[in-house]
Amino acid sequence: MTSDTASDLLKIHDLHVSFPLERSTVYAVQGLDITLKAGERLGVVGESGSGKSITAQSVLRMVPEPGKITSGQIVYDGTDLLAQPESRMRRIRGGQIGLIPQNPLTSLNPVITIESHFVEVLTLHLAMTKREAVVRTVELLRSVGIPDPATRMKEYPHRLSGGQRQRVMIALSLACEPRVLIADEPTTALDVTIQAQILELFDDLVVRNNIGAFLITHNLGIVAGHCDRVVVMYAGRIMESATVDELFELPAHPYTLGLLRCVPRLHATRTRSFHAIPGLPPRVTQLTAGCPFAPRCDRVTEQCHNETPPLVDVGGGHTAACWHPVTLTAKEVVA
Amino acid sequence: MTAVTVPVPVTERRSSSSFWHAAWYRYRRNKLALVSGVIAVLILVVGIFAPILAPYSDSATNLNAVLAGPSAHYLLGTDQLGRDLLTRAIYGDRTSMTVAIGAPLIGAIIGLPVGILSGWFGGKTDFVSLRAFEVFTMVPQILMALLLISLFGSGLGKLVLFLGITAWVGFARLARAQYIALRDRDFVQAARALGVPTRRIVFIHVLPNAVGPMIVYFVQQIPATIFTAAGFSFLGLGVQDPLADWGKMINDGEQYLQVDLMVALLPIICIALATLSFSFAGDGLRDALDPTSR
Amino acid sequence: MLAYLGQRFLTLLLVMLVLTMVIFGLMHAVPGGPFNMTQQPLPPAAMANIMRKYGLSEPLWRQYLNWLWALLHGDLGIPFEDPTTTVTGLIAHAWPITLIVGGITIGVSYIGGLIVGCVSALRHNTWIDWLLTSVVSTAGVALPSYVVGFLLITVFAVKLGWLPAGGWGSPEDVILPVIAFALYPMALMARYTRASTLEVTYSDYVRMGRARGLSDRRITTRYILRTSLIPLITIMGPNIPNILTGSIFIEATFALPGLGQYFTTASLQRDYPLIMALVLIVAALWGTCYILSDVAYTLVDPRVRIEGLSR
Repeated sequence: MTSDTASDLLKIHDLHVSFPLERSTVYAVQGLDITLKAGERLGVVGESGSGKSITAQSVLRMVPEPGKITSGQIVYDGTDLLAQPESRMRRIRGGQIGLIPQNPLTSLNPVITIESHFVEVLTLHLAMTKREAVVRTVELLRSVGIPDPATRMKEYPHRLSGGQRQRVMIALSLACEPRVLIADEPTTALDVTIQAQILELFDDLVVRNNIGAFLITHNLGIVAGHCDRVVVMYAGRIMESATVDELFELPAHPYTLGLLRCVPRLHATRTRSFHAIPGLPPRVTQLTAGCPFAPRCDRVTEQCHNETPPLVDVGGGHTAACWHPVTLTAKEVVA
Repeated sequence: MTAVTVPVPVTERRSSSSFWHAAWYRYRRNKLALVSGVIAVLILVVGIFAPILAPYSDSATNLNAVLAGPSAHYLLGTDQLGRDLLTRAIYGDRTSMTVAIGAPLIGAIIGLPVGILSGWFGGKTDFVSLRAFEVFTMVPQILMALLLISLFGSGLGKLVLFLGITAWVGFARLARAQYIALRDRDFVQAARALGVPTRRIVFIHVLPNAVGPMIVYFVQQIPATIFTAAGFSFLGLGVQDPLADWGKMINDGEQYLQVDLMVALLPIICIALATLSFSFAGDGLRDALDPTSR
Repeated sequence: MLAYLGQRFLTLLLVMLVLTMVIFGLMHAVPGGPFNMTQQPLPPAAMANIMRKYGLSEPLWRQYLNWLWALLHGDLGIPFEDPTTTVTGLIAHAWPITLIVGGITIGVSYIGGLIVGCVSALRHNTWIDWLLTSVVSTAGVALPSYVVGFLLITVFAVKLGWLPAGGWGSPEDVILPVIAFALYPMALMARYTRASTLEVTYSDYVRMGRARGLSDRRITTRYILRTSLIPLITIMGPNIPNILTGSIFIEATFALPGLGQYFTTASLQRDYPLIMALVLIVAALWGTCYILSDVAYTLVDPRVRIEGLSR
């Protein structure tokens, strides 16, 4: 596990995003550091409100109002995206960095055909002629498993099912051959069986095209099956960062451990009730010192309340932000 | 404590009291709506307490002081019959409010039950209702009311009655739509499945959600009714002398423009004030009761 | 499509039939007839004569059927107020005026409202939005059209003498009435347009369009406007008869010899043939507007297509 900076595709450095509201300010992301390599599937896990979607939106500089990126850098292809003019960003969006959104049912323009969606971006980013674009569209749709693509593409979005629309979104996001892909909970709105198909498709495409992909999700199962590395977010910060195997075998952060414990086991003894982490994730409106997870942690000490734990290496590139990282293996603790 | 913990928001089902509290809070925060609401209420109050607030009686004339300008006796001047303009405006407020609130009220009383029952029974009843809606919408409210007034006579009471009768369709349609929408909503089904008695479902779950749009619609009808009533007076088909009415005052004042501007201007200002305040208050209500609308 | 239209129009005709029956009954239900309105009561013999002449002594249902029969032959009858002409003739004279004034008003208010609403929404939260919303949307709904007309006459005709105060003879006669008439519908149109456009601006597919790097211009035209303007059709169509009924007041204010005057006088004078004709016109207009706007909607919005029609 060498940290080979040469193949670093995207590097988020000390990102801070906040939402100044009428009566308070919500600090959605505080000091985020993430590195994405080409060909790598990086899972970003967290509960609702942990800041994972905002992070994705920040990469594209599309944080919704009134949110603002207050500091940090996002380095892609040698330049800081946060310092680029809007015109450059527009070329990067779709052309270099693609986005697969969460809700396929509302993500397509209802009054233009599927084909039009593709032709728009292909002529824009890849400077194709309309004819070339049409041909390419058929190929793209075929590659994501849409049957009879030449006919289907003349349809309007409402004629396609949710699963099909998500395939279209995937094809669309890859149409202009981006090098980075952000998949924001791409299967949350789909049936479980369709989920599996979509994720397989995702894996295949990422590997084949050597794309660096963020897979944002709150589903640990998806992470286990479709990611190479994982980053666990909580209250706008990274709690733990590791390879998938390490995370599931040797979770270091109590939060991660808690999340793993929450997964129901098929062969558990009948008397065992569901495990839940007590309390609720915070909406951070004050920047104070201390670990954000402290109120809900069962390993908490005075230090946890007073000093913010930095991300420390707990062995071979596996980092965790905790004063008292867990050292037992997951299996042992869970059993 | 390092951070503020906020409890998980929004459950689909809204219990009565917290819903209204939240709505009230949202309404309060909307400055325009708040100010408008206050003005609207004041206008209503003035109308109700007109006899007490007006300096003179409704029909007091003074032919020695015709079309006089503002003075100590007559704060805003007098009209062509020597009546105090302020008094006329205040009583005009009462008349206009009577119509503006009375007519939609009648419309609601007729329309709401029709709409709800139509939704409740469905089938043939619903079919008949829908056809009735079509028939009665074919002729716009104004024309229908005009016809009725022309046939049966004018005057304040008849004005309220006919404007009210012709307004029922809007309320019926809304009530029916609300009923149907809510009947099929998840939380109603869930309540049913849990064995919650029907009466409780209706009063605690359905009504708070349904009442909102209906109140908004009612308030929105008020400015339109003011216009229509004033318009009828303008045509000579509305309120008759010696009753004061803003529309009529404008009509009368038209002839005396060269001499005394105020006679026509005052009622115009009153109408504008009433209309705007109820319009904005209505908009504010709509936004407060349904935060999803922008 | 034809079958659909046919069915809609058939329903319309049926409804109109019912409506005419209702109005007919209503008219005759009121005590007093068209000839009791004069100052001196007519001698019974003369009265009986007149009644017979106009067919008013027959039973009600037969009167209705007579009317219907005549209608089917294109004969709307003779107005009581002026036996020298026909109802058709009266209406033919007055109809163009109402149509012209109403038509121009609709054009001005719809287009003006659309533009104001769009600009206002696209420049959301800027001073332009604020200005347009307060001035147009607010001022437009503050006063009824006839009061605005009245004010316009006072300022522009009486005080300044730039424009005529009323009557119908030259092109300038149209200006003030249209301005007074169009303010309210324009304000409404602007409001609806703004709301619809704003809603669309914050939708997922617009965001996604931006996420693909599409230009602002493309987003505005193909993503925002194309979808936000569609729902407005459902308002624009049916609102036309609404607007036109307002012409009663405008025509009174500006002394325009359109159909408006007949609405008021006909019912007051119990001019049965005229009333029935007017009701017919209004109902036909309304119904047609509804049907046409529904059809227009299906043509424009790909999500709503009539059953049985393929792309």
